[in-house]
Amino acid sequence: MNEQQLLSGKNERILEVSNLKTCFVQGKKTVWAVNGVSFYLKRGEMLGIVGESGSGKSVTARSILRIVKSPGKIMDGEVIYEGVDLLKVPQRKMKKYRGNHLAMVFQEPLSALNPSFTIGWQIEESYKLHEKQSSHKKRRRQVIEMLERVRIPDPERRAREYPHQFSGGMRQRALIATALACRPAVLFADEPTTALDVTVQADIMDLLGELQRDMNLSVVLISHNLNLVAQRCERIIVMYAGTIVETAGSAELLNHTCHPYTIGLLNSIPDIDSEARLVAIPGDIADLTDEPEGCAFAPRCGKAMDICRKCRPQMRTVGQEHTCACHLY
Amino acid sequence: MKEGFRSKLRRSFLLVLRSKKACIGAVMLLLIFSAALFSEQLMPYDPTKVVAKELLAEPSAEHWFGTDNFGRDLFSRILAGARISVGIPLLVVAISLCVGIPLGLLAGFYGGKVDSIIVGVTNCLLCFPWILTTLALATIMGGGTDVVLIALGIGFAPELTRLVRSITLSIREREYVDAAVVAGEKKSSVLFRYILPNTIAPVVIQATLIMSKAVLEEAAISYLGYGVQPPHASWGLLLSDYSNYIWKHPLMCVIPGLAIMLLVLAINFFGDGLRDMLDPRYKGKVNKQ
Amino acid sequence: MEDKRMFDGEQARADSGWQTADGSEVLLSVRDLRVHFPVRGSMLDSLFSKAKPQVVKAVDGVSFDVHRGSTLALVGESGCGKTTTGRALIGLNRPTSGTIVFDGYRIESMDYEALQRLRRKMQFVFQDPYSSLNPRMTVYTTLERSMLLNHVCPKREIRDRAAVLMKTVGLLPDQLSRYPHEFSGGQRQRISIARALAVEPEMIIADEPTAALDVSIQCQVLNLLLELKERLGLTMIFITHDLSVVNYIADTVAVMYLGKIMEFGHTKSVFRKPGHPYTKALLDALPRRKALDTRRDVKLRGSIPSPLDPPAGCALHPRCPYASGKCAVQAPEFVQRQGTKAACHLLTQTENGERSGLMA
Repeated sequence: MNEQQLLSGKNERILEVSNLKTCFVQGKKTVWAVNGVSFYLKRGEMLGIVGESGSGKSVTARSILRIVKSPGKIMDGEVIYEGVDLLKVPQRKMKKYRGNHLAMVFQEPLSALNPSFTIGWQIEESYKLHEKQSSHKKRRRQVIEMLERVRIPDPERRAREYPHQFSGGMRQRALIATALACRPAVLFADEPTTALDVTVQADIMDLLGELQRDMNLSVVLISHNLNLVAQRCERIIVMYAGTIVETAGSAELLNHTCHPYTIGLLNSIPDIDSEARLVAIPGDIADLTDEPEGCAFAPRCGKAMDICRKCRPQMRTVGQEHTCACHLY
Repeated sequence: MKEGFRSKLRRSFLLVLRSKKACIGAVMLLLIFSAALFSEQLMPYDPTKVVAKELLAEPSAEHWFGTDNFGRDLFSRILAGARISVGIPLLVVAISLCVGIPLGLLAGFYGGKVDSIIVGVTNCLLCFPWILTTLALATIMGGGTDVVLIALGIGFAPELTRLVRSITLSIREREYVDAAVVAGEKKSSVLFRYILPNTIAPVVIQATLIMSKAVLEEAAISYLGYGVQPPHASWGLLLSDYSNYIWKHPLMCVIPGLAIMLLVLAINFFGDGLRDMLDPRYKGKVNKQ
Repeated sequence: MEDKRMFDGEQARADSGWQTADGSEVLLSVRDLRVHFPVRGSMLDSLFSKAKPQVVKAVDGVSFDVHRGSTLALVGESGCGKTTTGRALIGLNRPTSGTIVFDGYRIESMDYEALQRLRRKMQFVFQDPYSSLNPRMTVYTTLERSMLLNHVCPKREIRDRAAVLMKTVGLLPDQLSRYPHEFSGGQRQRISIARALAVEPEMIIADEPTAALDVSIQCQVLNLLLELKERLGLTMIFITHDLSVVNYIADTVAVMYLGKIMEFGHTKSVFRKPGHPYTKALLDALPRRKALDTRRDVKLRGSIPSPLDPPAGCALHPRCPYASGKCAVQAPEFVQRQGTKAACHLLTQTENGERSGLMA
């Protein structure tokens, strides 16, 4: 196993994010959607980012790709990819990175595909953008190969069809094909299965896992579903209110949960193998308008101490590859 | 919870004040409406009196806007025209609302045959170019304000009907309408308490758009000579009458044109403000202030 | 309305082939319910084409009983007809055929007014908290309308009752004068629940009430529903796509696919020993915390066929890994097993419904 890891460069950090801050300014209000996020991504691993709406998980991914929607602005931080700080790369050159090196799959496959063009055309388009010299015939062949690769049956016929002729799962496959057309090293999948049924979700996740292994792809899976992420990812990042509260390997996170928010989340998600009564986290999701002085979770936390309300907790190592931002540790 | 009419009024007033645009619009409209209403008292001269000595006079202390080719005081004529230029669009809006809202609601809510008939008729009416309709009506009825009213009514009522129908169709599918049924509401109160109030905001905006269009189209019809008949004045008619003098005495054309423009602007400004006012989300903001 | 009592609970229970140990009363009984929607083409289509008008069979022959005080979950993937079934039960969609007997009254043939009277006993909680409240009504008006229309209490008591309702669902009475947009999704869903409770119903049909909510909020709403159910002795039909929620909240479960029930029975029995390949496929696909491996025993092929042209025989056969020739021709009957019944030919082939491959 170790040898194999060395061969695939499994421990090489392909992406390193430090102290990323992104805020949205609306009139006088400033919403800190991402507030000092630091993490790394290893080559060929599947990393999960879990959080509820407003936790900043999507904005983190969008900030790394620098496609934050207006009025969002990246305020601070570093995103090191292959020795280059992506946040300092001029916008023109950033295009080269998107698609060729970093790609993204979105939640709603129907709105991410253009209804007026065939699926084949749309995938071919991304080849065109990145390999300008290739011939139409060659590109067409690549498109069919890619569709086969994402397990779309009868790819030659399907390539000539339009998005509305595809089912939800097939659309998501087509979208993954588009994203992977230029063989990126990192794929961000933002809630790729939220709009899909469970059986289709499992199929898509199987596919992502396969592609990750076959293409030595690093995948960042962004989801609100902790069960799904725990099952599919090697490492998990738990986010709350724009900050990372806990990072650990999946098994470690489930067995030695540290942060009260993660514990609360685990206790509040129904699991089919458990008979226990669920315990809800009291209160509503944090309002990000004002940067909280202390820990953002303190108002909802049962174990909150005085220090939690005054001082923001730092990330501390609590186990092997297990860090947690909480004053309890 | 149950607020009195007075506090509601006060709140609406505050809301209008909050939006600068609506404020400007409201003040302008108020000025124009009162000018139209009290035009007879405000006129310094008889707008139809011909004074041969003072043809095409430049603006002066006696004649603020000068005089026209018959020596009539332009300021008085603008005031006289205000009544028609403001009144006709108001009536047109009233007609289209009275026809459009009930028909649109019926078509959207009940669907089926009622819908097919109403949509069929409105589509037919929308097929006529309004200018042809006007010409035909004028030929039959011989021009005048009633021609303008009917022509514009035929033009705009179907437009509003279609709008109300499409909004009703979309609101009918909202879950709160089903929720109202489940809560035990009668069909009529589903229509009037749940659907109608939620159509108001877009309808009001459309009404202001219709009003400004009506101002312009009344002007156009009068300009063509099929609307208001001389010696009565409307701003469009004045514009048409004076268009021969546009090079020698441009002010004579500019002033009625400007009047039309200001009226349309005022209506549009006020419409924008009104839309905010009708949005409950906006109300919340004022409450918190 | 009194004359519409068709048959007593005993009869209904005998028909269903489904006995309860405690012999509790059947509150709702559905027999062979069908809801078909005609697909209307444009006028030109109907003039020029000779093809028969098409029909979407959203619900196609569904039968089940709900016992007083129990919770039934209708579960299935999108397009399986679970929501349409729920809406038909409360009269929002009119059934094409079949019978619905609620508390002794035949619902399927009732007119608008009779249904309105009945809705005092049966209420509905909608899926989307952002569109299920009238944006132009304050919370108080919303609750007041429900109470006024159903004559729940004298007018002067409405204000107090509204305040009590707010407390019941975990909101503050001060928030009564607010408009829906001032609340978060979870709070809005609480208001929807308060509106349903305002008429003191015996049964609540909840259509994916937590699907639009965040995980931590979903749990709050689920617990609220469970608590209310226990405290007020409510009967509940819970419509959802999430099997883990079913496991948490429901006593019995009906697994639906393409407008038909595939498997029906006690939640625990169904989930522990699924009889139908479809149930097994759903369970396999569900991410579980305990088992971190992602192997699936039953994988369905392809995707859901169009409800305009459902397959003959067993609806699942084009996708089922166990399908045989018989499945494509003959629709399977329900086979009674321990605590559950499932409609699958596999179960009739083997004696006790025990088979190694599926039940392993």
